[in-house]
Amino acid sequence: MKRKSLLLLACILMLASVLAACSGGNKDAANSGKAPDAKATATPAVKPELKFLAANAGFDPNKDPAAALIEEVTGYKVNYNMLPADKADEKLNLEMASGAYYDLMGVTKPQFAGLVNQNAILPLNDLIDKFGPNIKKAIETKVFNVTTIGGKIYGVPYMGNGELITWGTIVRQDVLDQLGLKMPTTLDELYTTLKTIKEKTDLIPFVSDNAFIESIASGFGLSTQWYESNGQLSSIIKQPGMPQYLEFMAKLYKEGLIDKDLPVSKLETAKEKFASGKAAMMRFGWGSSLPETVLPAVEKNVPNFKYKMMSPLKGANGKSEILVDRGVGRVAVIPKVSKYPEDVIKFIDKKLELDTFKYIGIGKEGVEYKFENGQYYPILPKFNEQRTNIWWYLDAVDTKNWPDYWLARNRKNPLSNAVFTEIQKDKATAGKFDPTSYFPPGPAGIKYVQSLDAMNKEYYIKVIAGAENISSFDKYVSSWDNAGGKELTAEMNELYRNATK
Amino acid sequence: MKSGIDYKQYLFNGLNYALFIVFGLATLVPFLHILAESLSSQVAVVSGKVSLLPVGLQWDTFKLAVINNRFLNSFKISLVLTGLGTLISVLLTVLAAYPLSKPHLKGRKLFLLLYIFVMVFHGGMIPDYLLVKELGLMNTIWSLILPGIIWTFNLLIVKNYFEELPEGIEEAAKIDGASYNRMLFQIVLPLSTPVIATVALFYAVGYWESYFNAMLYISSPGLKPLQLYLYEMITQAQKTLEEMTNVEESMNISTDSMRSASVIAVTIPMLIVYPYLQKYFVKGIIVGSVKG
Repeated sequence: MKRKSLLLLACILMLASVLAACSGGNKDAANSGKAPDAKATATPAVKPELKFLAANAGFDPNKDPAAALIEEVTGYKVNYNMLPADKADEKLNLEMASGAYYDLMGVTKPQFAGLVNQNAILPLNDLIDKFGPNIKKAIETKVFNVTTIGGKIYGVPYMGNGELITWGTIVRQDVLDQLGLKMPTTLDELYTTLKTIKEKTDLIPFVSDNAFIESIASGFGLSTQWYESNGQLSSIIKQPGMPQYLEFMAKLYKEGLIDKDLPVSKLETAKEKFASGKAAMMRFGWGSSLPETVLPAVEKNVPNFKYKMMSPLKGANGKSEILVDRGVGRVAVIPKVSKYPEDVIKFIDKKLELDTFKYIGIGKEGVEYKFENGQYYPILPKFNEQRTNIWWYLDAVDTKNWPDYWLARNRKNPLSNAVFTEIQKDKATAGKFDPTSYFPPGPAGIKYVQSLDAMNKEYYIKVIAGAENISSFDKYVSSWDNAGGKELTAEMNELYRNATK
Repeated sequence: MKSGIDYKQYLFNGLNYALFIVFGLATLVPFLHILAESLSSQVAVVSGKVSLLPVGLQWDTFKLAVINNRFLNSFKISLVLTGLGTLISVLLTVLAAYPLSKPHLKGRKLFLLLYIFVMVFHGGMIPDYLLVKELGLMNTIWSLILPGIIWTFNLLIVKNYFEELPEGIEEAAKIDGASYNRMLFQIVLPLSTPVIATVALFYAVGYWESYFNAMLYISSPGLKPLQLYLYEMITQAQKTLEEMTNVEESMNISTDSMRSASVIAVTIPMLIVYPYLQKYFVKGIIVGSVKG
């Protein structure tokens, strides 16, 4: 029957239109239909819905309980979107180039620099002066340096979780006890300890996923990427300790004191070796869920397992140093296409109002957190109800207090908190800040930092594994200079002269 | 009298078997490993103790991976996408192939040439992106269906099949006064079940597996199809600490066994459906045809 085929066609068309109506749809139409032009002098009676974009994370931001918390606190409805996990930079560029609509975006520093270059985002000086008093109060001036280019502030910097040491070395205390050894504190002691472990046991003495091992580099005066001397900045590759470090590491590698798989090692494989009990020491941190995944495994595989974190090693001059991370990982920007820049600033501002910020970040005292002996502790499980992923929804933090509040969040995971606390205790004696932490991204930085970094890593591995001799070091340094290192150094020095101290 | 030929035949067969067994293992072993990882305890996985069999058998990871909102939502999106997409694609492919299979169609060569030209030459990713954006399809399910709605390859398969059908059947129907519409839906299609099933299977697998378009056009997490969800979960876990914008990101990464469980969970529906569809290829072809 002709009717049958027509019926089928009609069904398909109906199904199609129903689905088109139900699926995402074009939110821009919804947006432009709402509140009147935000540039009008009177505040719109209805707060506009804001469209937000930030980096990928493993949850649905529109359905997460934190979204409801933000709405409750600010009164703004937000349509949250995420960049893809892979090729986020390209996707962002595509969106900007094709004129996609967003009100607020949380971008990485390289992405931020790209957006400034493309002239795609608004300068915020006036908006912050008029509508962002809390923004100015919450964020220290030196942090704003990162997003200030040519005297104009192009974004609100998200400072991260405080000044923290990230990497250390975990040591099997049970192995040390068994062999009657003490925890090494100097390079020579490390060498003897590793040698003894190699001779007396069949464990891999030291396992790492990275050729640059912070605890060891400390003994050669290497910690940060940039070093200041006589008012000039120079890169880590130009420090006298670098060839010495590489030589030392090459020696360790040759004698089998460092895992022979170092050149190809990834975090997964290094984890496996330590977790299965096959290694005595490992480059370890409190992030990446390392303690949570590795420690229970070692405990199961090794009877009498005890661990201790090794402090950064002292060099010939008796000094040790280790990088204290601080700095801006994310910047909140307003694209020029946004129709509601004033509302966006108000939205950001509300979240940074000091008491509101505390409430968003760690909740109410006695309900989500408790304050004991000057420290913040989470009350589980209430703390995790709405605030597990709240970090993604923040544009910036109260730079003065957040490092303390944040410890409550860190304490959610007791295993990583234990490692964290141990690692931080070296901050006072050995902690070192990178002088470039708060520099804004410059053209040479964007062009060269990543490629030079990769180049360095490759060279380190070649020398350590014995594929190249340390005598080639000077030649390598000049190739580093030519590959953009010279330009980068010049730019860093220029920024250093202009930076607010 | 054993001739040299027999011995060569055995050798050839033996080599064939050996080769195929090796290929089969090469595809099966990684799969078994992931399956074992998804069923093993996290401690065993991190210690690298899992090879082909689960160590510390537990079903919790699976439950966690499957019975969670994001997975189920993405699953639903993929189902809708595959169902709707396959239906529309097959319908349009058949509607396009039928006239092209008639030799008396005016301009037939030109149409065929155009279709084939499009199959070989591609405008590029940026024009595609701009087109989808200008049509207002961004962040909708249609951006995953419309851009590739007919595959020329499938079109040609169906067209060739239609051409092979005996003319007599359709001529008989025409004499009885059937319209083209009726001929297509009531005579040709019922006789084409094998090719329809084949082409539907190709489209279905294509839609089910698609993630690239979703990666480009979908930014709303509620609309992500299953493959994209899985892809992002795995890429997320491979980021080094230095690449993350906030260390908290690293504290919520899915565990190894979670990822393996998700991979298995995503593969299983296709594994179940495929053998069932395969029987359509084996089923007989035309039943009852031109007599005399």
